[in-house]
Amino acid sequence: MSDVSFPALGTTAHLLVTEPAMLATAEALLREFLDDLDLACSRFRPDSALSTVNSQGGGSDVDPVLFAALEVALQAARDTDGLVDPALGRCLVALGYDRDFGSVPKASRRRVRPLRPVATWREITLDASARSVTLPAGVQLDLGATAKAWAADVAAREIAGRLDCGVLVNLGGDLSIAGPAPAGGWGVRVTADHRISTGGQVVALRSGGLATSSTTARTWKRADEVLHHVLDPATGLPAQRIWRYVSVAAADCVTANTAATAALILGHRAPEWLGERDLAARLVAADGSVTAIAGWPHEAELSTVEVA
Amino acid sequence: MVKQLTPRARDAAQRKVNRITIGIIAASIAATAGIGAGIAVAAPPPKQNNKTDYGQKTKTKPATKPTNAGQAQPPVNDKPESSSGDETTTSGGS
Repeated sequence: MSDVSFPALGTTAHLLVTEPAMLATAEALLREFLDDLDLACSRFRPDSALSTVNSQGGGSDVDPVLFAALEVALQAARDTDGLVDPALGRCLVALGYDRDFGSVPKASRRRVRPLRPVATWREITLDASARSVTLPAGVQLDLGATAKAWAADVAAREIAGRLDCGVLVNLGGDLSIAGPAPAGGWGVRVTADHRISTGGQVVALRSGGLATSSTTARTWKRADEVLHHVLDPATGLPAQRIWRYVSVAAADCVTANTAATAALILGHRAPEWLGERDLAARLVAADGSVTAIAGWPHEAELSTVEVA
Repeated sequence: MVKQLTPRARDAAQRKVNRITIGIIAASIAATAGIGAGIAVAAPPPKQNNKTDYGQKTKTKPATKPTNAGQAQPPVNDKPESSSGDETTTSGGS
């Protein structure tokens, strides 16, 4: 096995392959794809296709990568009955998340003025024949809940198919697996922040995707309020902190990340919702207590309470 | 007259063809690759035209994915397993 990490999409890309000789080619493929994805889907680049659509309220003959990402985002919205909604870009901007997260001031005395959502994903229309998108008035798109996960799925599958080896693509904690897994599976530590290599739990995965959504990793403070980036579409405000973080394993990373994000928004109803869908999940509550759902393996350690 | 590419230009052209993005566009992957269809307790009704109505209610999804030949395959086990080993990567909030 061999691996490489590099910055991408405002986070870290971690690529692992089972055949060390394939790593350089795999890395080149992944870097090119992520460059294309960033140029298509970044909310923070004025030259991105998404920025153009957001500023013009839509467009026709839009970038095909953006169009594909939009279809995925709207499918996630439909699958969650709107819990995961790409129409919240303007609400995020109002809360202060208006640039690459690394550049967002982490504390300010200024109080934010939240915006209630003026429309939902249901009012967004796509036309595949013209590759056009129309946004409701006052809506800007944010693809943060699905684009990275989708990219991980696409990249893992494409690289594994072309290079005929096992591949794991991890984009800031959204990871996807394709091709043959190493003996014992891919060891993955689930934790509150993908940059932390302690705590949480290590599990083995052989296929599919795994994602973690957190209310503690991407936070900033305005006046006396600590804000985070997972918004409740019903209010346009950060979801209540019932869960510190939720990890979900599924057939692909988009499914896993969509479900993990939905779980944060659902709060106390999340275990039942995940169980109904037979999605293996690990939920860590605000007090550190751990709940395992639908086949998620129990902790090897004695403690089932995580220290913050 | 056909212009001969230099080896460097030829390699660059080959790389461009090999780009994942080109593959995505060629395959119209968003519509066909089965992305992210695993959550809904429901699946969309057949499209009536090119316009996609994302607001429609959905139906129960099949337990297994059909193959191209229409035959069902056994579901792949994507459940995580216990591990006593070290991690190779980390999934956390980002």
